[in-house]
Amino acid sequence: MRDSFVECLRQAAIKDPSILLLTGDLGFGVLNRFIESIPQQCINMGIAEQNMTGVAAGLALEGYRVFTYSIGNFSSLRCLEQIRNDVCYPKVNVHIISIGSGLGYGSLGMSHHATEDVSILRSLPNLAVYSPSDYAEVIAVAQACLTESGPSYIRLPRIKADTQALRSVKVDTCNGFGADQQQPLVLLTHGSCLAQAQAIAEQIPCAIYTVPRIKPLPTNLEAILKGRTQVITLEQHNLDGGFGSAIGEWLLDHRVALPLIRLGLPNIFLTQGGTDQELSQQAGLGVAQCVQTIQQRMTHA
Amino acid sequence: MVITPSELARQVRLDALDMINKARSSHLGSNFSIADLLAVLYTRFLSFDAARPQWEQRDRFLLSKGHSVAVLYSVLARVGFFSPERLKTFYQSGSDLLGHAHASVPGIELSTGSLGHALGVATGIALAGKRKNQGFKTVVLLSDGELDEGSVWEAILFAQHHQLSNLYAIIDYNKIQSLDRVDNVLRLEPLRAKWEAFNWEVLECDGHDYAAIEAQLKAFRSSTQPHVLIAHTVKGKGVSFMEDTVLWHYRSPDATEYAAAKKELDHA
Repeated sequence: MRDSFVECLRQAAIKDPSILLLTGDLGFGVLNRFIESIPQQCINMGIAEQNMTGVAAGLALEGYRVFTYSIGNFSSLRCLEQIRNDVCYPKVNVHIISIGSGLGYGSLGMSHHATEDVSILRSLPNLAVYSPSDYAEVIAVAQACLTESGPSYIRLPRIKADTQALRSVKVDTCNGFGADQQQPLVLLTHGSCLAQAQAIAEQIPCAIYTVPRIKPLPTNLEAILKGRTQVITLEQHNLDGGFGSAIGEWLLDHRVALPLIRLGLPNIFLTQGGTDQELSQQAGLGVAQCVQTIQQRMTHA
Repeated sequence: MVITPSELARQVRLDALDMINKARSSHLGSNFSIADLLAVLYTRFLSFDAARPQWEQRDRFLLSKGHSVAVLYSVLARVGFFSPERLKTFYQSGSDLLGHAHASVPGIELSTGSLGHALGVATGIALAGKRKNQGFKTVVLLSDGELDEGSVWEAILFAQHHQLSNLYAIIDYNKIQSLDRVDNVLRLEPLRAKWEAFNWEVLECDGHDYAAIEAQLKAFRSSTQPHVLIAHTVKGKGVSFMEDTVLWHYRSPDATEYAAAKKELDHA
């Protein structure tokens, strides 16, 4: 997914010299093509994310559209106040890319798990938060970042995008995935969980929708939820304040009396190794565990 | 009307005293510390057009120590960016003349308040100017205590690597920070050597000597290095009982202190 996103940037930047890509000395094997074709539009900022974000804000104040690039929490939490004060407050065109969202960096450990970023960043005024689930949504998100004004945060999973699997999506809507879209159960997900959602749906029939833009929430949310009997959210993110919380807030604020089951990571640090799937299981978010949770909660409703 | 640095500095100290007294706010010492530096910048160094705050070729000035904004608002009003009447709204309900530099005010480039931010942003602005081959200067005024922030040193590294000779940092080196003297909190010395080691062009001056400030700002020569002026200042400069004291970082004057300060500044 990161390759697809960066390639979108590269193609746009070739035509538009006001597009700049700043990296915090990361992007091995990912940024090479961008750097080789337009080296003057990529700046390696060194391992200094606070300055990367401040410089990005300065460049954006002078008319550039700037993308900052790093992995995990480095482009977000490490420089959170620069994002808040220097990017969000003046609403400049700075777009913050985080690679390996959720547990994508697996055995690299807690430092590389971006599992609280959505809850923290969605609370910042003026900042759009994107989390595409597949190639189609990556392209839609990249186009939004290249055309819309104002800052954004983009969390990109490490999973490989299937560039052949193009479906019709919009960046500001819930996008249906699969044929079962009329099911009374609806599962909303984002980021790296689409395959997991499909596996759950094989055991518990439900309509799957992906949500590439978490903030603001999708414009068609009300229509998507109409006539449903149960909402399930699934994300590789801390349950406290994440996407599931955002949906819960929406249901409360709009007085929509639908039961909600939030599937996500508990509020703990994961201390053992494993792939993102293995870590999900350790955290109680494996497919079988999700199915069991859903069945238990629905039974006891 | 041509105004001299000394006339402007005297006026903005009086304004700041009134503003902070009315607001019952703080940072008088920090404001008085930079009044002379600002007076020289806005009468002798910066290119700007007060009628066109966003004039593309203007020099960009960023106040990194945003808590000293009362004197900057006053300077901007006194050189014509907005009416001095507006200074009376400082800190008041509904006003955008906030207690830290606020970019909705004409002439303010960046909203600041949290220390350690503006040098990075200024570096980005300077980099943009260089990339676009524009002639404007980017000037950022930092406090000494602010140099505790690691983000400042990230920007210092970056600016010299990219040879941003259109970037000017000025250090308000009054040797006192929020709760104590710099030497007692986190020692900065040898400060000049630090900046030189980071490959900046370094000059020093008495931060209250108008001629010296102007001469040093105009003495920078390097075309491959960013520039830093270490301005040796006195916190609270201009009011005898406020000078070189930790107390007047936060203290708001009572009626007697206000009257005494006003009397001293009136007769300056």
